[in-house]
Amino acid sequence: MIAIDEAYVESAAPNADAAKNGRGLVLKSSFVSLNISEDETLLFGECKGSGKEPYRCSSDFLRPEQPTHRCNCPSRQFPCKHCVGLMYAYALKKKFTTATVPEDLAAKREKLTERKEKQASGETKPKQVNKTALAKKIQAQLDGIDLLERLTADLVRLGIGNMNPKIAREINEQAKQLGNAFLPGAQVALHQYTHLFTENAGGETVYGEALDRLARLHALVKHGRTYLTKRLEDPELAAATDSSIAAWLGHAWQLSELKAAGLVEHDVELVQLAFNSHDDPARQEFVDTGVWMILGTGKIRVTQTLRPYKAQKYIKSEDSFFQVASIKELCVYPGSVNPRIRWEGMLPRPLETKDLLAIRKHGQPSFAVAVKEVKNSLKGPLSDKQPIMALNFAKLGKVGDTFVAEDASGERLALTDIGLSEEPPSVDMLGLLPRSCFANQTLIARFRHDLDTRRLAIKPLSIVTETGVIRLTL
Amino acid sequence: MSIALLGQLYDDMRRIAVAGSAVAPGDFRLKKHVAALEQAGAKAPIFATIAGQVRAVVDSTEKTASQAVLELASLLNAVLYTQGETAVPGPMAAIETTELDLAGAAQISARTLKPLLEALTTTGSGRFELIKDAFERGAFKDPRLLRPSLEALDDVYGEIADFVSERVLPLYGRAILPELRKKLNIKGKSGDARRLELLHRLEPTSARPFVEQALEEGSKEVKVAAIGCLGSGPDDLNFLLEQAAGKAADIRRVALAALAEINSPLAIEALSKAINGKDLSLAAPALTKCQHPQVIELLHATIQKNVASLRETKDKKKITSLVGTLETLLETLQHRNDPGTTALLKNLFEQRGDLLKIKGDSLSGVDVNHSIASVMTTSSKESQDLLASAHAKLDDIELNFAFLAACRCWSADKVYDEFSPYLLLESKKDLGKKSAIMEGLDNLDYLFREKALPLDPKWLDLAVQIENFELIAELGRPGHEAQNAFLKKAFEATQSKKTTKKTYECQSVVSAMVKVQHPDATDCLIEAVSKADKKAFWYSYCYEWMVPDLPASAIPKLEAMIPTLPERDTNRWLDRIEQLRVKHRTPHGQESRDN
Repeated sequence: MIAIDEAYVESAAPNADAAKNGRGLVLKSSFVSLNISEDETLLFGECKGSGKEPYRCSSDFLRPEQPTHRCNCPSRQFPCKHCVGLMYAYALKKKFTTATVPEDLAAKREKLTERKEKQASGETKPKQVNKTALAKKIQAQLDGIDLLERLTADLVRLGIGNMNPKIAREINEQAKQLGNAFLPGAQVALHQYTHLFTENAGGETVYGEALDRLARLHALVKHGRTYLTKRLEDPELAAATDSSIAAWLGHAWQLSELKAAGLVEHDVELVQLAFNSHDDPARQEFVDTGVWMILGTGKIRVTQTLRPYKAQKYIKSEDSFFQVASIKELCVYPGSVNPRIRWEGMLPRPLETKDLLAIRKHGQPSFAVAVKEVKNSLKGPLSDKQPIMALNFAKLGKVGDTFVAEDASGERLALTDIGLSEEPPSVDMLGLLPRSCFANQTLIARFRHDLDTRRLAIKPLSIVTETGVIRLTL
Repeated sequence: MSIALLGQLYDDMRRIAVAGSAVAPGDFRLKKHVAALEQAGAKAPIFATIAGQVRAVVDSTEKTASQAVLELASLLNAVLYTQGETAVPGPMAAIETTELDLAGAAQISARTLKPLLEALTTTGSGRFELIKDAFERGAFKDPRLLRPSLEALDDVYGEIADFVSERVLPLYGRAILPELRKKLNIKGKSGDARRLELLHRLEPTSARPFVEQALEEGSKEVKVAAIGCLGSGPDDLNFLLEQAAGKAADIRRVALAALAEINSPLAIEALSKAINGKDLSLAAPALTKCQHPQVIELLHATIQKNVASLRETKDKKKITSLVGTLETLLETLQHRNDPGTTALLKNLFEQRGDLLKIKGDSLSGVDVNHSIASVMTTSSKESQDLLASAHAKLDDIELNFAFLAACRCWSADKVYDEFSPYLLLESKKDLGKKSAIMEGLDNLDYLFREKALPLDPKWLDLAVQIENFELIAELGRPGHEAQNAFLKKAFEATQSKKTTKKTYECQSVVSAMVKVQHPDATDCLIEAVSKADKKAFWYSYCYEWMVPDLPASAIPKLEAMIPTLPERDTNRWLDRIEQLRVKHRTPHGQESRDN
């Protein structure tokens, strides 16, 4: 028996338009047939489309926590409006005829069941690798690395001060070749440099940042070449899991790869402590970032949903999450302080006081220890330059015009919004909070080292009290 | 570790990176660092490594310089990242906080918050609706919206800035005062004028120094706002008197408005000067509000003097000028019901016959009569009764005013008894009178909403009796059987007509049925749509807008109609049905199923 209602369908739709259009298909009586399998776990039907043949869509609830939607329409939205409509028709109690599952669909279901069973029993066959093709690809990537090295050298020869929007555009044109060489990550890294010199850029204020990005490109060339050469020598070598170099070169990790590499944590509970959604013109993508703490270990991880401009319509935008997410299998990307995480199925439960106490317990009571860990991470040329940590402070106050956090041993960290414009300004928010927030609480903070002033400061993202999480950004 | 040494080296390396690596080979400033670094390298090997990299840059050729610079930059940046300064020396003070009450302030989701932050801090169309909608849903209780709201006081779109100033920011109360004070620029534009007004509204005493400063040095916009914040103290009075005689008309207007609220001989003198001078039009809004007996007496005397002059003069140009002045002066008597005004209006009303004979260029005595009648509708019951009782002798425009006056001073049934016969008039010459009453009934919606005046239910019976569709559409109410029967008949009649006329009339009838919650409204709407010529794309626009006003019971019927509509129109109808669904959704997400 499939237990779904209209609210369920609405949340399953990738966006509000898909929900509306799916519902519209039901109201317009576009469904030629509505069927349900005998065991009442599969909805399938045919829906009129613009073509001669109707689309055949189905929603399979064999795994209720993770239903499978199938449709032969060309839409890139998932689930497409036809599957959403099919579920709406069921939720709206339209008449579904019990019918035998079509053969092709039955075969697909069977395959899926087998695959899942195999996965569960760990019997999955290792993925067949076409070694010749892989070697060819790696060679192309190495050629791409050579190109990146040449471009970086040209940029250094030219000088940061001589960059202008026109040159930035020309470099971007050449950077397209990196995409063709299977190095989209390197292409983005180059765009991140050229983007500093677009029309509305900050002039001389970006020089320090520009130099750092050039150094990062240099590191990418060095580490990338070593890594790829090693892989070329041994094409069976899997993508590196001990560093983020694969992601830097543009490797899109699949959950199966992460699982195969053992980068999985089981039965974890996560609380979102901050959220952000920003436009990244260098990547040509919208980036939705969730900052989460694993309740058991206190580690801070991030989720990232990348929505390329061209495909943003097809990808569900994320939202802030105020409950606790219980996850069976949490996949963790290779990374340093705050690695990226992803999961397939999640069950929510309400946030309770004990969860808040757990978060507070995990906060780092010594700023010196936190700073040491951050600095240790920052020195890696390809590390995340703005790591996030939970800090237990004794008090928040002001020294002159600077907001300051102080730990129990008197160590201090300055609070700032400078250089962190992707998230809404948050320091000024402190002047609105109750005084009780300024002593003995947990601060979720993003670190940033300012290359020009050579100061390490933090941006407050949230304050965790015994009664709740006060979000200062999104 | 000698951080200062590394700092200097970084600056030099940055200089080279900015200029381009071609200048690196042999760079003497870089070279100077080598010795010091090597010396430090004896104690800490990292310095020796850096010294080696620096030497490599200095010794490089034009071809190898870029690589050497990158190596040095990478190493130096990595080292400097580990040396980030965190110390913030000095005594730590407590954070001054406005302690916004977070008790009822639920944090809204990012999907709601982000577009609002953008709407408040950027430009572009569609923002006002978003802000208004969010305000109505209570989203502004989230403290994260406070600062963007404060920024929106400077919004280029004045309506947003005014809305934020008048509706949104008062939500936060005195908590916003420090921020308002910090951002206030006395020489600023309208955003700063709003800041000053808000400061004054939230805490007049603490706003006083800013008001005084704005009066002294403020820009025109801020000064105008400051004048509006002044009180009746002697300093304020002197300042206002000075400003009332100033050059800028805007400032004179607000100064006169402020003086009108001050009970002082000097203020009265300034207003009196305005009544008899060139600033009469400018001072008119202030004079309308002024309650000082001396000013009112002067207004009466001036009106009488002008009427006397009008009756004496023969010069048509002068007549036009005098009538214009009289119209302005009479306007200042609106909403006054003191005995003096009542007596004056009675006196003027009695002269209407003589005034009627006076003809000017573009304005004549009849215009004065219309102004007198207009003022009488808002004056004392006595004046209203005088005007209403004379309805049989009045011209069409005055009759319209008399009807409004009667509505205000008579019982609902007396109004009906006296004025309903006008609706039964049929002859051509009386059509103006009929229209005057029709127009009066048309304006009732506004008038009655404002004053909650009762209307005799017999008007609707009469409208049905004379089969006046416009009146029924205007006065209709739910549950009136004769009206419902009439509308149903009218609907059926439209179905026999053809083409455009049919659509137009049918749309009007269905719209009236929806308005009066006719039990067949949904069915008739669906029938009208089903019979409409669907080749004409505009048929859909005639009806779809009515959907959100239908009862919840219409939802399944309308949804059943969707398959019969052309594909191009279905999405618009679905949007409207969705609006109807949202309107009838209860807080628990279930749809209510009324009637």
